[in-house]
Amino acid sequence: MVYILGVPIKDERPVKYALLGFYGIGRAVADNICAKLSFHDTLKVKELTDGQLTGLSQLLSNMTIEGDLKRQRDANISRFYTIRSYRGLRHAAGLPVHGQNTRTNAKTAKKLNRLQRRTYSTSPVGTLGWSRVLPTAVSILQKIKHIH
Amino acid sequence: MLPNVRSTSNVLNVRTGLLGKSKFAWRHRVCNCTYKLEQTKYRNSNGIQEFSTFQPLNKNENDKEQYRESGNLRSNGKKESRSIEYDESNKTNKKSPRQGQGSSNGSIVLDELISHDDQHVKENHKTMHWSPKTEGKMYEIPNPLLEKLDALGAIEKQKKSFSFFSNPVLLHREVTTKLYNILQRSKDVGSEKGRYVLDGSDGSGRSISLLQAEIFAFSHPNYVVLGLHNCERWVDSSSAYAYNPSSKSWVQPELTKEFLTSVMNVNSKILRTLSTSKNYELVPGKSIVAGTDLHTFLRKVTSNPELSVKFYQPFMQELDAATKKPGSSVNVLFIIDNLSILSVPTKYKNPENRNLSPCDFYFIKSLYEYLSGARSFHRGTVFAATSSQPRIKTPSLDVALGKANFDPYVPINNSVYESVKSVKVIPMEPYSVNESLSVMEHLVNSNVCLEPVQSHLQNHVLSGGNPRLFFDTCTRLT
Repeated sequence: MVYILGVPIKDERPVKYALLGFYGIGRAVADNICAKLSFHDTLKVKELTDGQLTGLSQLLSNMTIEGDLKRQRDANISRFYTIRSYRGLRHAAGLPVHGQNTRTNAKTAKKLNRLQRRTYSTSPVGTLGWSRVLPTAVSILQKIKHIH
Repeated sequence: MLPNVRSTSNVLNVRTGLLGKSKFAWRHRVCNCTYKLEQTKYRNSNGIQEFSTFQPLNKNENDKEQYRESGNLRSNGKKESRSIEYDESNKTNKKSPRQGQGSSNGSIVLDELISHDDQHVKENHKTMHWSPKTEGKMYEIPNPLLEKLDALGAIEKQKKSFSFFSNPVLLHREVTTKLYNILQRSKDVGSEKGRYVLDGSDGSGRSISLLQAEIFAFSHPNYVVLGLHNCERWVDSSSAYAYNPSSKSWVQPELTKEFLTSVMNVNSKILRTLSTSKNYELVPGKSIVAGTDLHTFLRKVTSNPELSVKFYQPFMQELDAATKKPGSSVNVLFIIDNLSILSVPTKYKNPENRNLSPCDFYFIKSLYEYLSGARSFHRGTVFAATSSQPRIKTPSLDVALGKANFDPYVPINNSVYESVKSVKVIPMEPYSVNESLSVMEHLVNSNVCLEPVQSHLQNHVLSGGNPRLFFDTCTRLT
């Protein structure tokens, strides 16, 4: 297993398809990357030399992928809400943004559209989640401690 | 070949139902018949063997000739019996059925195979001869040459059809004689005048003809064979590639190393007799001095893929120099199979993510230079062949070989067109009737074909003389 920019990639996979594991890289971008670095189609991750690995890491670090891309997306949504645009209000209301029907369907928008946009996760919908409860619990305990 | 049958004493009763269920499907089944095979002596002797195919009607030993001359069908529509006797003195026992019977009487097929089973089948394949007198004859490939051809990768696609036989055998055709004549004339002719392309339809025998040219070259100790088969690997983006600023082209180090290694292995004897004319520096501190034999030169060069790329052209120049030496009889044969795939855009990409042209590659560009005559050997021949595998459109090659006209809406590769337009084309002709007969005899003798030899005319017509179709027609089971 090779880690590139913190993302684990299996050794046996061809590089062209292993790059699809990055958030923000699809087939077209993966093809472009392989062409730029002169990687042939059947080159596997384990066959990459150190120089090729370095070149790949350098190229990927100059691209907006993974966390940077997610932050950019969230920032865009926040800006829409801040300027009180229609799209921002729809994101905030958890409703479809692109003019879809709401009388029926719109399940995905209701599930995912937020100001801090959620992605698919395994925690059930509607629960607070430990990541949101814990900071609040800590702050309450600290206040109680101060009172005592 | 026969299915397992039970025998009681000397009489074997075989029902057609059993025959019909055997793993070999007969071309024409005889229904509702009982075969009685009487075997007088043990299996491998040349005894008298009577096979009566139908019981008990009209069985008269004195009327054997009458049976042979009579028609096949009875008035009730059932197929007639026929008994065949083999004389003890007739040791060759090459029994051929009557004309016209092969297609209508399945019992003849059965009888022929039964008779073949107990006879000594002699496969008298002559050794190779290079004269036109052996046209239409089959010849066996000797094992040492077979290993060399395998090392070159020349018989990858032929292994399946060769597996039908105990030893691979080739047919000496008219086109083979043409190739031999060209090679024999090339003793004093440079490769710029000896550039040929074999072109024909699918399954017309282009790759096999190149094989035969290689066999000719391997049989003569003064030939250096540079064989490039399976050219798809050079263009299908399955090997490493990189841009070389010094040559301003793209190089494929691993494939170049493989090519030079195969050349070194199959031409080891003659390469040991040739020597370099100047010094070459492999790496700083290591060099090859002048006078080193070419086999050692290649051995050192192929130790590293980068060195293989760097010294590929010097090696070719050394070969050319060897052919120019006074008193030298060294001849070079350059074989390029599947020129078609080398004439279309490759699957490799440049940094702008556009497909690379074949002439952008250092090695493939050199192939086209030898094909065009820009580079040549002082004594040598270049044979190339188009291919139908994989099925692709080759507009540049078609226009260059004169098979198509310029189409303003179809872009062609100018480099490919300019390189190939001056090459002489050898068209691949279909089998002649005699050639079909030779192949059919060989297939029947090898027990690969279930039909009688006389049906070669029928198969020739059905296949149109196309070698691959002819082989498929002869070897089909139903």
